Amino acid sequence: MSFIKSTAFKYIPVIVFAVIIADYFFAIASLGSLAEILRQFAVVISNIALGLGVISLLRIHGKNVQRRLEGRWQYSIVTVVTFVTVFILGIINANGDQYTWAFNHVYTTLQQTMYASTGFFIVSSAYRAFRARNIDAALLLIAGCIVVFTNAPIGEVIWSGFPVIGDWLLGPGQLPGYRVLMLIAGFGTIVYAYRVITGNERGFFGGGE
Amino acid sequence: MSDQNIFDRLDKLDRRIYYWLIVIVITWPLISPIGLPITVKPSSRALYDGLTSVQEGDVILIDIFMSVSTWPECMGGLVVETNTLIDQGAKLVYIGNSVDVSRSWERLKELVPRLETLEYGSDVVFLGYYTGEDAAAAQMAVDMSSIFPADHYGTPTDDLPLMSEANSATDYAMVLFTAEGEVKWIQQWGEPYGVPVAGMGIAMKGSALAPYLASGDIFGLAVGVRGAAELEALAEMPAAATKTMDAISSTHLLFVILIILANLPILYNKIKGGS
Repeated sequence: MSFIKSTAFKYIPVIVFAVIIADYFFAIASLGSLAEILRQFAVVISNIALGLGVISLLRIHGKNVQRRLEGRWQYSIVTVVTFVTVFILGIINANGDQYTWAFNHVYTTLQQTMYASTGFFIVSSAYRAFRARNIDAALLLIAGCIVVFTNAPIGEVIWSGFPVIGDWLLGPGQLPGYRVLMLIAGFGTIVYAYRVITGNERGFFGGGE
Repeated sequence: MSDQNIFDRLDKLDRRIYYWLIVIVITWPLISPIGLPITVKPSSRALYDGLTSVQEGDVILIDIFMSVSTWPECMGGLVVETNTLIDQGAKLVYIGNSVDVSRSWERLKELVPRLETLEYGSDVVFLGYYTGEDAAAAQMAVDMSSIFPADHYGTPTDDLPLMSEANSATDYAMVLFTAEGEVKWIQQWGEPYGVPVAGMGIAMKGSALAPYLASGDIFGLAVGVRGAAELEALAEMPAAATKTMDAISSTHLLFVILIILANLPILYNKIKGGS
């Protein structure tokens, strides 16, 4: 176990990183098939993660029911029962009428209702939070309102300048800031990769330095 | 209550009032459309021009990332894309990274009945759901069948003639993303293999996608319902997105009016010299 923790855990990521990066940037033919195997591994692992998610979901909600967690356990029962029902229907026949019915008439409607209801919350929060208490907040509000009128055809009807200013805000106005964010995230990824390659980043193994 | 002036009342406006206002301003234009003109943005035009430049027999990969909740934003655009590509004689391969991709596919077939007239397996294929993000996209670039050994219906991809001629990135003329997932296609297909990438984003992704559009990593972009309505206008096939634009206008106007109303008490207090 100590060998696995001290050595294997340190060098496996180094090898994986080296192969994938070399394949991507230098397209070394001899590494191609090895990189393919590793990528397929990644896809298989991400599928296994779905299974782990299921176990985690059942564990958490199972505990909620077992402990009669106030205000939650009833919802947990609904979650578990729904999961088990749909799972069984899917196992029997994923393209069957019952499974399709559950998908079309329960999942689809609930998803769309939930997404649509966010519109109400956005307006509610906007009314309560979008207050120009200082000059910075006022500028942000004005810019936000201009962008709102840029995206809605009525903005152009009210004043033809809205889309001109709004497009500037969405383009040259925000691009430098967004690019800086993306570059910082990119540099952060490189630093993280360097830490993994040098064996200094082992947090993803479940703890430790 | 009688001591409260209008600004105090505005400050503590009951949320049910604006909830009802939203319901009214959404419903009214849907019942009685206004038909405000929609100006087409250059990014949407670039996407449409890209679609109409596709040659007969070109194979296009379409990644349906949207879930059923984002149908109102992206389905209209996907319908226009599909219709335009069918008109161009393109061969279409659909995949999806959203767990409900099969539902979106069924809905797309309802909205584009011509999909059913194409020969399945030769002109159109639905490979279904995949996981693995960048790793999956990178692997698809070299061997699609390793990620999709079978299509959504369980038919081995080796038995699908279209997949034997379109098994790697270089076999595809274009990748179209829907809602999200653009970065993996840019990084794994666009940059290494030069496959043109474009697509549609949900409205809140507009600013996040702008840098990729400005740098040329994606050649075209339609954002939100507005983008879908612009595509419908370009393709001269007005449908759900065009109808929705009036409701977008009325709700956006209400949104701005409410923000102004919410700020009146603050302005009043500042003028009065209070906090």
